[in-house]
Amino acid sequence: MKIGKAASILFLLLISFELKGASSGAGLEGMLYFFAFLILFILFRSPKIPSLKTREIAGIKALEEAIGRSTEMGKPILFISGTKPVPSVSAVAGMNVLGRIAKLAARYGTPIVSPHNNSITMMAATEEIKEGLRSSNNEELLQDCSIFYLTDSLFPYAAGINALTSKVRPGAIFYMGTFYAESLILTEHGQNTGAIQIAGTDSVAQIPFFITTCDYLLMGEELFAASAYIQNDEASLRSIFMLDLAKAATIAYILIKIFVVNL
Amino acid sequence: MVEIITLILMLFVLSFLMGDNPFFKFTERLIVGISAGYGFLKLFDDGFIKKFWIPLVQEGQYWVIIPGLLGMMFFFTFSKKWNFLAKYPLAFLLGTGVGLEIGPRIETSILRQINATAVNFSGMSAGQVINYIIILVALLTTMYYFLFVLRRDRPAEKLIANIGIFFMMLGFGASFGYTIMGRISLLIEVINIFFEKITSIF
Repeated sequence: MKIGKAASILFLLLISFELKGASSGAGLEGMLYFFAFLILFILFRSPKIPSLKTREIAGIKALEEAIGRSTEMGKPILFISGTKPVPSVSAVAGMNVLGRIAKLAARYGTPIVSPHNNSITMMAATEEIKEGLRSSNNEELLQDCSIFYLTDSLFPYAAGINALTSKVRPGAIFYMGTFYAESLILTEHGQNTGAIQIAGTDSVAQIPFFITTCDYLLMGEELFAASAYIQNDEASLRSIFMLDLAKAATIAYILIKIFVVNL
Repeated sequence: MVEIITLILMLFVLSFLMGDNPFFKFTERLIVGISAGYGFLKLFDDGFIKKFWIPLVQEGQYWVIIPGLLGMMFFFTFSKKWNFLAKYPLAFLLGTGVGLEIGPRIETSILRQINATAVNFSGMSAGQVINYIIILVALLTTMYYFLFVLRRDRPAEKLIANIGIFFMMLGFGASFGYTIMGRISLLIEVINIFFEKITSIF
């Protein structure tokens, strides 16, 4: 409780500092550091947060259903990483989802086909898939999986994936990461093959196309939260909780600032 | 001479419209071969010669050995016994890449947006105030939708989240329509050019 009170006082002090300095942004930056510190503290030092539960995200729940359906049909699953390579946040979040997909695929014995447009992304994906198969004690499945580099050019990449989709006829297709103009080309073709499609992207401009052609979609922040969700441990839940707290504080900050600016 | 070769290769590529044939295959392999060869040489020159060899040998910058070695560790991927060593440069890239990306994102996607949201109403017309209130409601309800810890069991919570979804779908719908309009205007332009060419010939 003492920590909570101290945190609230510090938060209010930072808000007042920011409002006093009008739009300097100094207090706002201070708030960000404050939340970064609070997240680290709660992640590593604080006692357990009682009954911490999160709402369900349909796209994550559907991962198992999609892989199960693919298994029933005797078809492989297709994982497509975004156009932005791995050091980008969205690609890293996509890799975490791939880890979960690999675990489920190993459990069902369904091979994964995964083309990439960047060699580093391909390596990261290979490691994730290997780790996923290893944790489900089905490393032999790697021989049936196909993880490869296609091309780094946008439209040849899309054309290559479409050709692959027509040839392999996967039961489920996953699109995870940042996408550009190729999104509708990929998802429309995937939909024509009858595969169940789950996408996760932070590309706001492409979300409408994913909504119209995919069965499930992880929108923006949901993709980042998904990578924490699927870990399903105390630390991940705490990080989601802390990010929510930061968002709630931002909402409060905006409302207070509007009120003060218009006084 | 170059124009004739270009024209012939174009015809070879377009011959695919009549089905797969040796002329198309020849052009396809020619492009792939040239691209791969050019790409490799460019990468070798930009990545190895200019960023590693010249600074190390000619300029005496010995620190480039560290990133050089990290880069070369990727080649351990091909060894079954030592492939774990390839994970270290990958981890380095992931860590630095994510760290470098988060900083600018905080500045552009969070700080500036928050500051731009809180505005003074004085000097605004009634219409502008209404517009601003709609934007504010859309922003706050959308942010509320992305709170994951709240279970949304109560009707009020569901209502706020649904308003957020409504605004998001409104935005996505407008974006989708705008893109389709752009595509249609492109098609109209192409059709216009086609008819202009036809009329100029006859």
